Amino acid sequence: MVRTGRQFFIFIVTLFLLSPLQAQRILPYPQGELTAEQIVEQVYAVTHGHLVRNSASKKNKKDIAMVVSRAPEDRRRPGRRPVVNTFETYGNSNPVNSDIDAMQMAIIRSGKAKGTGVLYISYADKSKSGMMTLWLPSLRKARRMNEPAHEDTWVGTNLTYGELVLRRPEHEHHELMPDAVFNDCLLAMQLNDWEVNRYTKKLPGPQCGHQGKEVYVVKSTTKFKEWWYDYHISEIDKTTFALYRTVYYKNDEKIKTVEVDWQSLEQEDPRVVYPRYIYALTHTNGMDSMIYVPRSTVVLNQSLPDSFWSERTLRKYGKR
Amino acid sequence: MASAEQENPEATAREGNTAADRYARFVLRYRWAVIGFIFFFTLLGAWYIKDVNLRNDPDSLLPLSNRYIATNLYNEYHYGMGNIMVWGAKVKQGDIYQPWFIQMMDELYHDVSQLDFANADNFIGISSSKLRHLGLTEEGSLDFKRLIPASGLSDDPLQQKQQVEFLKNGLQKHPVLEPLLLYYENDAGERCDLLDENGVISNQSIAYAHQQCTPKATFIVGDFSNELKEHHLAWIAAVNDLLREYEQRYADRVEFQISGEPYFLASMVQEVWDKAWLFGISLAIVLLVLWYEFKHWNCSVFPLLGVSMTIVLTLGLMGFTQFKLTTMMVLTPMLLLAIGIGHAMQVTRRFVQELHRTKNAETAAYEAIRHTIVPASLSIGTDLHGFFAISFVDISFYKAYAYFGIFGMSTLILTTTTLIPLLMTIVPPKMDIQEEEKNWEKPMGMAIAALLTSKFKWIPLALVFAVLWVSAHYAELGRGISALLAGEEGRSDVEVARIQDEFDIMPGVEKGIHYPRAAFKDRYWLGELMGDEEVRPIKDLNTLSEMMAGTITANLVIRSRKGVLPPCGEDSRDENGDRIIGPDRCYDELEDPAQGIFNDAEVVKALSDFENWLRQHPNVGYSTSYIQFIKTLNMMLNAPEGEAPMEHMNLFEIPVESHLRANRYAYEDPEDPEYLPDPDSTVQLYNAMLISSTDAGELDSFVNTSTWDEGVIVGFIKTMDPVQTHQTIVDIQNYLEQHKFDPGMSEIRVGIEAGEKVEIQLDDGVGIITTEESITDGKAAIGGFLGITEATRDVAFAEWLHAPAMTSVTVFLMSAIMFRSWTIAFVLICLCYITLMSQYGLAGYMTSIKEWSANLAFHVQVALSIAMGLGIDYGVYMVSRLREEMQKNGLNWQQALQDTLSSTGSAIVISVVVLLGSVIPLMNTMLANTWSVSLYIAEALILDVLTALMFLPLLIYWFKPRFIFKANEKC
Repeated sequence: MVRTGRQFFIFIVTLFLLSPLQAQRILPYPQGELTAEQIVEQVYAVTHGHLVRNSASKKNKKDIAMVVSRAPEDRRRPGRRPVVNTFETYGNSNPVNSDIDAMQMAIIRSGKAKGTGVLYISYADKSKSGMMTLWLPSLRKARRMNEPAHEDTWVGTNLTYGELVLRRPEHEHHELMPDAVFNDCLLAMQLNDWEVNRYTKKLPGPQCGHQGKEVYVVKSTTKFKEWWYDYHISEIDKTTFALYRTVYYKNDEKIKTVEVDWQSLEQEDPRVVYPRYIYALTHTNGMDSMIYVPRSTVVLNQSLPDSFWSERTLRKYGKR
Repeated sequence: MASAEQENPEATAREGNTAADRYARFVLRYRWAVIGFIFFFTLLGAWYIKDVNLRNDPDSLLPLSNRYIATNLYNEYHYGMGNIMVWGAKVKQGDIYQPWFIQMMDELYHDVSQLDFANADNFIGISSSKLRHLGLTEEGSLDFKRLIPASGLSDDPLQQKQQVEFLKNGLQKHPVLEPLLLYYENDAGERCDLLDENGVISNQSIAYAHQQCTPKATFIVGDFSNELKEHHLAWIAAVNDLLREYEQRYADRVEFQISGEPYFLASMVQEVWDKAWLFGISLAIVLLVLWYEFKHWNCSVFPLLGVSMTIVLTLGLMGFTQFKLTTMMVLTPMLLLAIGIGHAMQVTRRFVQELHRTKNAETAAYEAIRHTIVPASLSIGTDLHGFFAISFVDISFYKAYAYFGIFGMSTLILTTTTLIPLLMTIVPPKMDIQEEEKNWEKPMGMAIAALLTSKFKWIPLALVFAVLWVSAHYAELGRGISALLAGEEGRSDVEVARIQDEFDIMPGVEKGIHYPRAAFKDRYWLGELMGDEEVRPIKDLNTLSEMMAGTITANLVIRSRKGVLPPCGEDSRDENGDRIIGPDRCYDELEDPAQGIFNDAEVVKALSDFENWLRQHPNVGYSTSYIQFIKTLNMMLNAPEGEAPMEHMNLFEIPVESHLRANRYAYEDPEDPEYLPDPDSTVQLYNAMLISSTDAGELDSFVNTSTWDEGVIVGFIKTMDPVQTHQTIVDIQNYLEQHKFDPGMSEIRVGIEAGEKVEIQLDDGVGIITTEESITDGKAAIGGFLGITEATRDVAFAEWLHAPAMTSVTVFLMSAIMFRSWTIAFVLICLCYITLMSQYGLAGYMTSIKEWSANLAFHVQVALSIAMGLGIDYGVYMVSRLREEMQKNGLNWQQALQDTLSSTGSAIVISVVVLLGSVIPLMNTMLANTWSVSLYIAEALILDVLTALMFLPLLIYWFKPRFIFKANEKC
C-alpha cells in the first residue's frame, strides 16, 4: 500500500537518461549485415545517450518538458484530469572524476512539488549502484535513496524503469525478423474535452513523419522468469537506430505498446536523436501516458563546473 | 380447500347459469384449446428458466436511496474494493518464514489474481508489488525494494535464505501492512496484536509480537469486479478448484481458509444447484401423500403435473423479467408446491366423488370445476394477502416474493382447479376406485370434538396462554413495555432511550442481521448424515475472524463541506497566456496554492486522530487510509540520516505544528535554527510525491487524486454480532457528532447526506440516485458491509411490526367481507395474532441462544406476512364448514363440530403434511436464509392448524356469531 516516494525521486533522472544528451562514447557507425544483437546494442547506445557529450532541458519562455499520465480507462470520468508534471534537467556526462560515469540533476518546476530536486550519480563500475539524492524543499532536507527495480513503474505512468533505463541487451534473447517498412503514424494521447488544459493542449498529435522508413524488426524474449511480458517486437530505424515502436506480448496477447517520436538534433552522426515524445498505451486497461520534450527546451554543451551538480544547487533552486 | 365439499351436488346441474357454471362449461367445451394454451405457456416459461437472474447481491436488496446504501455504492463507484476476498494460510509447523511456504504464497497470490473478474491491481499480500522494504541499504540510503522479487524466490538455497530473511525484516518494519497481513500467535495459541491497547502501533507493541510470538499465518486480500455477480457459478467453481488443488498439495503442512462477500454469495447460488435433488425428495413425498389419498396414479400424477406447471410458469416469468433474485427465492417454488397441492387435492377429490356418483368423467369434471372454482379463488385470495402486503415494502426481494408469489398463486386456478379435471376427462381414472374413508379421520374428529365439548376444553385455552406467555417471555415484552412507559425520566438509561426511540416493544427480539449467519448455518443435519456437518464458509470465517484484524469493513467517506474551485478552462487566459480569471474563481493545479482538504494539514491531522480513536474501539481490529501513507512518508523522510525509520515511530505522525515543535530534532534546519517546515506545504509535498511514486490508480482506493477533497477511511470490523455492529455504528456516529466543531473536523462531512444526487454504478452503466433521510438526527452514513448491516437493521425495525400489521388489516377486512361478520373476522385475526406472537417468541428464543441464522432479521420478517396470509386459510375453511354443518345438523353444535373436524380438519392435517414435506429442501441445505424462513412458516402453519382445530371452535362457541349460529342465513 505504501510505496512512498522512491520512484518520484528518480523519474526525471530517468527521462534524462533517455535523452542522447549525455557522455559521448566512441561507437562507430555499424557497417554491413547486422545481427539482432548488434542492432539491439546500437539501439541501447542511441536510447541511452552514448553518442553526445552533455545537455540540459530548461524552461524556454512558456515551453517546458512535461510528463502526462492518465488513469486506466474504467477509472477515467469527467472531472478527472490527467496528472501533469513539468521539469528541467541538467546532465554532466563528462565529469572530471573518472570513477563517476555521469551526473544528472532534475528540478520540478510546478505544482505542489515545485522546487523538489534530484541529483543522481552513476559510477563507472557498473557493479556499483548509483547514488541518488533528493532535495525536499519544504523540509529543507536532502535524502539519499536506492535505485528502483526493473519492474517498478515510472512516476505513476504505465512505463517501467526496466523499459526506460535499466534493461540491458543481455537481459533478453534477440531474434531478427524480416525487415519491413514503417507505414503507420505514431500514436499520441487522445484527450477528452475535460482533460484539456493549458498544459495538456500543448501535447503533440500523432506523428506521421516516419512513414515509409525502413525498419529492422527484432523479437526479444526476456530471460527473467515469471516476468510481466514474454517477449516484445521492436521496429527500429535502419539508419538512425531509433526505436519507433515496441509491442509487448504475454501469452501471445498484445499487452502494451510504446511509441517514440525520435527527432534529429542536426548532428553529423544520424544516430544522434532525441525523443520528442514517448507515448505508452496498456491494452489490458487502456491506461496511457505521454512524455513531451519541446525542442526549444533543449540546450547543448553548457559551460558549467562539476560542482554545479550538488546539493547546494538543489537547495538554491528549491528554496521556498 | 375444504370449501369445495360444502356444496350440495344435488343442487347443481349442467344447465346452471352462475359464473362458475359458465366457466366450467366454457373450459370443457374448449378443453383442447385450454390445455394447449396452458402447455404452450408452460413450455415458453420453461424456455426462459435459463435466464433466471439469481445473483444474490446485498446492494440490490435494499432501497438505493437509503443513506447507508448510497454511501456504500458511492464508495464502490469512486474507490472500488466492493467485492473483497480473503485467502488465509496458516502453517502447521514453525513460522511462515520457510522458503517452501513463501514460494507457495507467491504462487497462490499469482493464481488468485489471475481468477476471472480479479482487479489484480488492488490485491494485497506478501507478494504484492505494494509491499516494500521501508528501511536502509547497507550504504545507509533509504531502501524501498520489493520484499519478494517479482520473479519469485531464487532457486539457489543460499540466496533463497537471504531473500526470506529480507522479507522477514521488511515485514517487521512495515507499520501499515504487517498488522493487516500477518497473524502472530503466542505459545498458548492466542493471537498477538501488533497494536497496543490504545490502538496505536508503538515500539513496545511491535517488540512484544516480534519477540514473544510466532508469525503463523498470512493472508491475501483480493478485489473483484461487479461482473462477477453475473457469473457466480463458473467463478465459484474456479475458486474452489484452485483451493482444492492447494489443499491437496499442502494438506499436511498448511491450513487454508477462504472468505469474502463474493465467495459467500457465489457459494449460496452454488448450494442451491448442488442441493436441487432435494426438491425431488419433496416431490416424492407429495406423490406418496397423493397416492395415499387417492390410490390411483392418474389422481397422483395430474395434481403434481399441474403444480409443476405453475412452478415452471413462475420460474419462466422470473427469467423473462430478469428480476434480480436472491437464493431466498427458492422458497417460492416450495410454497407454490405446498399451497398448490392443497388446491389440487381438493379438485381431484371432488372429481373422484362426482365420478363415483355419476359414472361419467365429463359430468364429474363439470361438477368438480364449478364447485371448486369459487372457494379456490377465495382461498387463493386470502393466500395473496400476505404477498400483497409485502409488495409495498421497498426491499427488492420482498417485492420479488410478492410479485412472483401473486403470479404463481393466481396460475393455480388454471393449472390445478381447471387443468386437472380436463386431463381427467381425457385420461380418466379407473371406475373401481373406492372413495375410502380413512381410518384416522373420523376418530380424530370425534376425539377433538369430545375434548372441546367437555370440561377439558380449558386445556387448549391454557395451551394458547402458555404459548403467549413463553413468547412474551423470550421477546421480553415486559421490558419493552416498561421502557416505553418510563417516559422522559427513564431516558437516562441508554437502553430505555433506545427502546423509546425505536419503539422496540420486544427488545428480546434482535432485528439486526449477522449477514454470514443469515446466509449459512454453522452446521446442518444433512451434512451430519454425510459426515461433513461443518459449513465451510462459516467455519473459515470464524477462523479468519480470530486471526485477522477484521472480516468486514466500515467505509467512511470523507468529503469537504466547502468543496473546491473548478479547474481553469482555456478561457481563463488571454491569447498571450496571461491569467484573466483569477484564483478566486478557478483553480490552476500547477500554479495556484493547493486546494482540497487532503492538502490541509489540520484536516489531515483531525482525520488521523479520528482514525486513532477508531482503532481503539473494541470492535475495530484495524483501519487503513491515505493518512497512513502520509504518516509513513513523514517517518521515512525525517528519521535522522543513517538511522532506521522504524526506530522513530514517534515520527509516524502528521507534521502539524505541535508535532514539529515536539520533535524538533527531526525537522530542524542546521543552517537556520529557527526554521520549522510549514505543515500545509509539507503535507502537499508528500501528496505530490505519493501521486508520482505510486502505480496509476494505486491511491485511488483511498483518496480522490483529482480534487484532493475527498477520501475514505476503511475500518476493519472484528465482529458481525448484530448487537455489536449496531453499537459500533452508534459509537462512530457519536464521535463524529461530538467532534464536528473541532479544528479540521469542522471542514469535513462523513458519508452521503439526505437529498444528495450521487453517481453510482448500475448494471447498465452509471446512474444517479437521490438519497432520502434514513438516519435519526441526520447522523453520519457509513458504507462498507458495516453500513449495509446497519441499513438492514433500520429496514427491519421499520417493518417488523408494520408489515404484519398491514397484512392483518387486509386479512381482517377480507374476512369481514367474505363472511359478512365482524365477529368472525375478529376471531380469525385473533388466531393470526396468536401465531404472530409465537413467531416473535421464536425469534426471541433464537436471539437468546445467539442463533443468528434465525433471529428476526429482515429476511426472516417476510415469513411473518406470508405465514399470516397462508395460515388464515385454515380458519376460513373451518368457519365455512362449521356453518354448513350447523345448517345441515339443525344447529347441533356437537355433531357439526365432529363432522367438520372429520372432513375439513383431516384435509387440513394432510395439507400440513404436504407442506412439511415441501420444506425439506429448504431445511436441509447449508443455506440459513431459506432454513429460517421455512422454519418460521412451518412453525406458524403448525400452530395455525392446532388453533384452527382446537381453539377456533371454542371462540366460535363462546362468541356465537350469527353467521354460524343462525339458521337459513346465507353466507
